Amino acid sequence: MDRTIDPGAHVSLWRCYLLDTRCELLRLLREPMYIIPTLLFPALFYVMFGLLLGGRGSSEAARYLLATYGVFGAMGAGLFGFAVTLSIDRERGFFALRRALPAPPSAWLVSRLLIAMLFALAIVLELATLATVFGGVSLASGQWALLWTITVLGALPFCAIGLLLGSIASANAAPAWVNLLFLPMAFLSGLWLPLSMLPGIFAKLAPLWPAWHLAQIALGVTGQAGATPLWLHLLVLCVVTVACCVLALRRLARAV
Amino acid sequence: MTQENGYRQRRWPAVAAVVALVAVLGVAVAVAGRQQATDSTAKPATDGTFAIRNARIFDGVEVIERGTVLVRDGLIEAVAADVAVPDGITVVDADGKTLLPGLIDAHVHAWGDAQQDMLRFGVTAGLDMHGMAERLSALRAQRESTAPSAQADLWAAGYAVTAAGGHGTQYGFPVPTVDADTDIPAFIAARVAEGDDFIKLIVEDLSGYANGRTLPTLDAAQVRAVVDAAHAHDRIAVAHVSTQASAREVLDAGIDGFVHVADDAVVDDAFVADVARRDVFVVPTLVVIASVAGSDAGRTLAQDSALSPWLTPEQRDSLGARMSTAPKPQRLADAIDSVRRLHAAGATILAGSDAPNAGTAQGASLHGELALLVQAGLTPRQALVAATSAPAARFGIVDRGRIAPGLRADLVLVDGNPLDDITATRRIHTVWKNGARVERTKPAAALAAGAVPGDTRISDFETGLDAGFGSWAPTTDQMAGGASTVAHARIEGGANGSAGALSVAGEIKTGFAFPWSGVIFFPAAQAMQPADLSSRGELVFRVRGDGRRYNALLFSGASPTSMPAMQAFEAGSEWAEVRLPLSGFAGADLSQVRGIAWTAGQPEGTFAFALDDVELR
Repeated sequence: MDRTIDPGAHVSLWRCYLLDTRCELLRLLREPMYIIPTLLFPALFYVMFGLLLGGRGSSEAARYLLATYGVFGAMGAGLFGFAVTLSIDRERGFFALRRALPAPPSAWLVSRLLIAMLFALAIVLELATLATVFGGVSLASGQWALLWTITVLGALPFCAIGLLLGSIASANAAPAWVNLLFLPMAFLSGLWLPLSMLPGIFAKLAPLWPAWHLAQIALGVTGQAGATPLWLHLLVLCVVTVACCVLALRRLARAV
Repeated sequence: MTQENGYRQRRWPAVAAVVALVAVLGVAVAVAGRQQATDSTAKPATDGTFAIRNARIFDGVEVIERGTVLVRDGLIEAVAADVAVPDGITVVDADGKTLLPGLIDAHVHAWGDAQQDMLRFGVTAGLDMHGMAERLSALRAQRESTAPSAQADLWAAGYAVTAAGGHGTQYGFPVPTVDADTDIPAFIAARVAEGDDFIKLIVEDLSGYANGRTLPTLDAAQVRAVVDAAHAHDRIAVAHVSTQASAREVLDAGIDGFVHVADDAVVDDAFVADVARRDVFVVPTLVVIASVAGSDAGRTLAQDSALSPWLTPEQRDSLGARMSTAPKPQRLADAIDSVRRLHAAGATILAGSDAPNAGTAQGASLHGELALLVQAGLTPRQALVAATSAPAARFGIVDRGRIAPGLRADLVLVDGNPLDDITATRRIHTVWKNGARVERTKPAAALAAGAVPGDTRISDFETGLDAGFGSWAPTTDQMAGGASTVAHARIEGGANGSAGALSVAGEIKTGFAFPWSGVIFFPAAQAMQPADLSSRGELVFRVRGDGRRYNALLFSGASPTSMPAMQAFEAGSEWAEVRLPLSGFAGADLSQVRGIAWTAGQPEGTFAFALDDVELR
């Protein structure tokens, strides 16, 4: 009665994660609500604002928006990937089912983190192609590698925020909540327009938004760093990640 | 029970998470928000962004023999032998030139045009050692701004601390002083509250000058109390001394730096050892000691072809002046010897000029000081450290004095290699302040006395707006932020049937407290340049107009911005002659007349008048 699983039938943990990731990926790919905004919008916006409108005459705008739209993409991948699917799963009682399954309890979390990072990578690669081919942006190979790494890892704080939203919101409300956070945060963090083009109050409040901190780090890589020290950006992103995870996991543990 | 326990155990991580989140975001807004508000780095940079390539770079400490500095929005972004220069930005090729951090003069007294004068000579920051406290907040705002600027930035002592009736009280502005009853901690707290960046003490009774006159000064206990109070407020304390005795007294009180080297004798070994051991810095101000000693150093400096074209007449006069009539060359020799010994013992030497004392001039004299420091045994590189990174470090100026990422782009590009030949700092190619290139304009030459022609006639407007001497120009309150307008032109038909006159018409509009609009005559070749009109007695002209009351304004004196003297006249519908005695312009300095204006003032509305046959008899 104590054991329902034969301890001899050992399955590699990695294989569990991989299987889970594959299933989750399949599921998302069949979900246009996620895949279209996440994968296409950053590239589309970059073409419109970075290349067609802002990029004329100078590669500075193309370079600036390369960094910020990458952040925009990572943000979308993290927020949408977690919040919406998680709230649906929660309402459907999927978590109760998972507990009964012979799978490691963390597999769903790990698989979604991996997918969010994978999507973020896809987005920065799209942007990099557009920026080099059409925007005249050239970076040293080390800069490219660093930019991609930052963007991919940068999805993690937004995964955590998405996790928290998904643990609170109902399945119906979650997309609305995510959009309510996603679009204003992108705008207020200077991802679409440099903050210097907006009233000063927005620049003053920018440090409230994790997306601004990630964008500042990414801009540092493309040689457009602000005056704020790197440690502050890293601190904010780490604390946001940890705090949101703690709150969300606690809620999930109680709710399910 | 277990559930209750479990619940309780789970509660604190959530509370801690929320608290951490709120705290860190609060800190982020506090730390970054202020910077971000003025930080323009987030915009796609096009202006204020440039690279200087192929320069020998002295970064304030080290030398890069051939390197690149990248500046973005007023800040240095990168400096290295090999920096990737973004496409499309301005690139300055500095082959054969040396890039230095903006120079810092560690001892100035800056007023009037001092900050412009300093910047013209590559001195982008100065430490003001005694001046009025009212301006401290303005100085602070100025140096915090990253906007393009035509002025050097100042860190200031505010009022220097001196005894009642002591040295420092004689300059025409009221100075709070210390006497036997003064509560020194409260006194220093008041200075700090005024905005002092550091505390300067004056310990000077003139006994070192052996001219029989002595002044009251701070005693040893007061000096110690001032130093302690400054330190209690986290301000460094620096001292003016001129004798070995007072230097020793101040050193024992725990001073952080001397802003002169005492020049009554050569420093003794014990003093040198103590200065080095206590890590006290010394700003020798050898240029001003040279002037006290009666040397020709200032005059020689004024004749240097690299500096000479950039000196204003006032600066040239000041460099040519001498502090003392009886030459005492031993003072300079002793001072140089003292610096040599202090430097050899490892004491930090900072470059300061004490401009604009007689024999010195703002900006220019720092280059003279560098040469004297080299004469006193510093290598050219050590002298440059003394004028860049060392004063920044000693006075806690965190964003100047070096060429390093994140620092203010205050830069000086000079021809040649000052690390071999220190006088190369004088051959300034370009100065950047806050990342913006400084327009270095050559000051107008002084008009020689009596250069105004003997002819009394200025203009009769028979053929045009030309004048017997000088020139005509419009003048309105727009230069002070007002909105009044004016147009002036020669018209046909003047007084007494003559061929032409000067028509002046415009509108007085609100927008400035004292609106004015009219026409101005400049007697010298340049606008507002002084001309000597002391031989003239009367301003005579014919006028016709709309019946309004007008003012004749006479601008004169040493400063172009001083208030004009005024006399009123009326312009009726018929031509009439107006005679205004120059003695009627109360307080005017006729030996330095800068301009004479005919203007309308309040009330608002349009005005029109015509002038003819203008004479200075």
